[in-house]
Amino acid sequence: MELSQTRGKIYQNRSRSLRNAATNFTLTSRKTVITNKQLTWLITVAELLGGTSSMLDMIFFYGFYTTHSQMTEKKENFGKWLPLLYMASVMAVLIVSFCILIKKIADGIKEIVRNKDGDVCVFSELVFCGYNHRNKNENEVRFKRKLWLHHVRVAVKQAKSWGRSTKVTRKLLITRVIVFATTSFVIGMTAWGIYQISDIVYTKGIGLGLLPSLVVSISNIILPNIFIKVSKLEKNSLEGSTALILYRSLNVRLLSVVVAVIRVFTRNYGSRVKPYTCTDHEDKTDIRATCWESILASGILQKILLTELALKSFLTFVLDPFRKMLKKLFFRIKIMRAIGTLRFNVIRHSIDIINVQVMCWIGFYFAPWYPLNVCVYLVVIFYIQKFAVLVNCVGTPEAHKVTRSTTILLTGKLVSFILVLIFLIVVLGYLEPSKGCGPFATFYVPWLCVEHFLQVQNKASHMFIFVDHMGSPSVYVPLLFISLTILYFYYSRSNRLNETAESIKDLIHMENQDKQYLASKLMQRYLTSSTKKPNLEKQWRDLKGAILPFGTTPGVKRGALSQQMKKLATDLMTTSSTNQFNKKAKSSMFKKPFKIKSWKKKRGKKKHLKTVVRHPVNHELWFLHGQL
Amino acid sequence: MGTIFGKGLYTRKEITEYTTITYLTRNEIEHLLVKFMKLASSQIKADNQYRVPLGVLMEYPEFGANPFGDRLCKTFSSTGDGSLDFEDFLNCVSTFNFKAPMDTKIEYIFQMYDFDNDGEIGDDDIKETIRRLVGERFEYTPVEEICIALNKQTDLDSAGGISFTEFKAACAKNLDFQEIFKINIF
Repeated sequence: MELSQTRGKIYQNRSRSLRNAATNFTLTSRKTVITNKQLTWLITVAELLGGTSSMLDMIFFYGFYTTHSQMTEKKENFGKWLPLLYMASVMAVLIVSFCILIKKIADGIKEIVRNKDGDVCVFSELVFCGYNHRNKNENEVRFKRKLWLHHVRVAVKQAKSWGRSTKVTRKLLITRVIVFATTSFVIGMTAWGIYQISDIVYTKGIGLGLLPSLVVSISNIILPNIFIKVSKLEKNSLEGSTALILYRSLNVRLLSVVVAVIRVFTRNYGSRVKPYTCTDHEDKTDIRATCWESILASGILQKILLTELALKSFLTFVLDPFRKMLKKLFFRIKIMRAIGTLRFNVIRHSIDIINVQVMCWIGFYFAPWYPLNVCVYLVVIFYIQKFAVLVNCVGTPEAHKVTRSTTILLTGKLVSFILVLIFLIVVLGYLEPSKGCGPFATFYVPWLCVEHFLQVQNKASHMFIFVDHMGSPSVYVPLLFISLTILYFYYSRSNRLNETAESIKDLIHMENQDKQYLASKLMQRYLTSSTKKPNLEKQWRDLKGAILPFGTTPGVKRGALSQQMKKLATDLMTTSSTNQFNKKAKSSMFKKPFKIKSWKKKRGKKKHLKTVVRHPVNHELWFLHGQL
Repeated sequence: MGTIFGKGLYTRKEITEYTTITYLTRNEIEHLLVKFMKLASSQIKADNQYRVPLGVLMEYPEFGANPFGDRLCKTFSSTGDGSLDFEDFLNCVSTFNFKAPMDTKIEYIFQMYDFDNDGEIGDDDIKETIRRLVGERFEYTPVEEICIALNKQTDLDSAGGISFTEFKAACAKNLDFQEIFKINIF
């Protein structure tokens, strides 16, 4: 027993001294003196990329915000608030991002509801609202015409798909299931591949740790293109295929980032170290890296950003021009033409933005200045993509109506946000922070700083009583019940409104069929009558008493009936002058309802420009109502 | 009060009256007067009620580049021949202002698309609209299919043409309607 106590004391002393040494090393380490100055920059870059340099103590990273060090009295006072401020800034960023995201999605929900109602008139939008009257430039008009034709062809193709037979639908369903299974398998294999590669890299120490990031970036470029080609087999609508490509590509990106993060995390975080125990084992496999948060930020987030930038620059400035050159030289070979034709894909590049946003949300905790790096990255990428669109790519961009695509992309972003939130909850609430660096070194978990501030752990405090009550079933069960009831109310109301709209459409259709039948009967009698202009009022009275079945007159072309009725109407107008109905009808038909405001001026009458309207008159309705 | 652009043209008070009866501000009306005068300055200076003919109006960029420029002029022309005086011109720009209500815009736009002035948009009107939208690529456009699909979606009562009510119902569902039918003044 004495021996074990002695050993325990030795271990305690050793661990304490190791901890102090680690702290001192982290805070006061200096760069080794390099004699050959030409190698200095190379070593610095390698250290930075490798994630082992003292640059991790810079302001960009988590390790810089350390409170427990040699400080003056002023800094000590500030040091008390630093953990809370750090936590508050992370929470503020997440809350503001969530609010903005929800607001944008709410604007798009109006459009989703409109699409779901089935009342979207794609062709009326294309034909009647297809030209933007703000265009002044001839070149712009020419480009818009080309784009409009492309849109219309896509819409016509989609309209043809509405009338598919059952056999074709079944075949399509089988194809879609196969494609779905294949793409899921590919995504799974990609994630497994990234995990294995990063495992090899970290165990054998090759490639400066860049290989996982490179594999992630390459898969993010190649796989979305494969998904785009494969989605053509599924023959979905434009919105459907856009959504599928988006979610599949987003899955690849998120999985690859998650797998890489997990790999680096398990390597650097290691097994949970018990306090006051010796961590210096021979194989050194479960020693937690000092300041693992900064290493994670540098190891994953920075590297992914740098490799993506390098890869995109290589593709835009080297590979794509080479492909274009191949097409020009071997334009007779079909494969070369296919390789050399480059089109700008809006969805693929939008997914890049979502990916960067996700990394920004994650990276803000581990490297508070990471969003600044992302801003610089985005500015550079903008000019690279501009070059790609203007120089490399050809043809019209794909027909994506901006408002509809935005909603799909924002929904993908919301899903990514929820995953990021779960990850950050685990990091802030369950993982032990670094003991040697960072603002949360003195806390068991980072969230404790908020609990201490709010005095939630003190059972006598008001905050504890409030939180305890809010977290109890007596609050959240009724809230859940009320939310579900409200959702059900809106769902059933929208269904009822849909049914009402359908029944009104059917009524309008049936009314017109009645009208056409009556009119066709009248026309037949008029045409077959021996006298030139018969008394039609008598004939209408005869028809009124008859039992009339529904349906239009066979053989009568659509539109021909209304034209004949218009001619007949004018004939009747010219002949009958004593009829009261005709007088009224004449006055309503030919008088242009200008509302002229009389101005007592030298220059005479002026029109009231706001209400000058010529109302289009429905000849058919006048005729039938007048006669009946 | 005095005149703004020489004698015989509009006084300050008249410009103020125009601001009350249109959806334009004073600055916008003055700017439009300058633009309108550039089309036929000597004739307008001589007679401020001068009607600029259709051929001259097509030199105005918003009408010239617009495939429906001539239809716009004919719709807003009080004589129906496509010539516009300054009040007709103001009426046109005011209707295409963002402050103008949707109902007013839809009524004028319906007349713009009703090429044969029969009170409804038939197949011929639709074909003419497509021809103007597409330009020289009209031969490669699936016009018949567009007409069938459009009538199926918009012609609710299957009357053979799109009536004003049906046109209004179709246009009102477009969220970008106000942005599309807008003429920039400056």
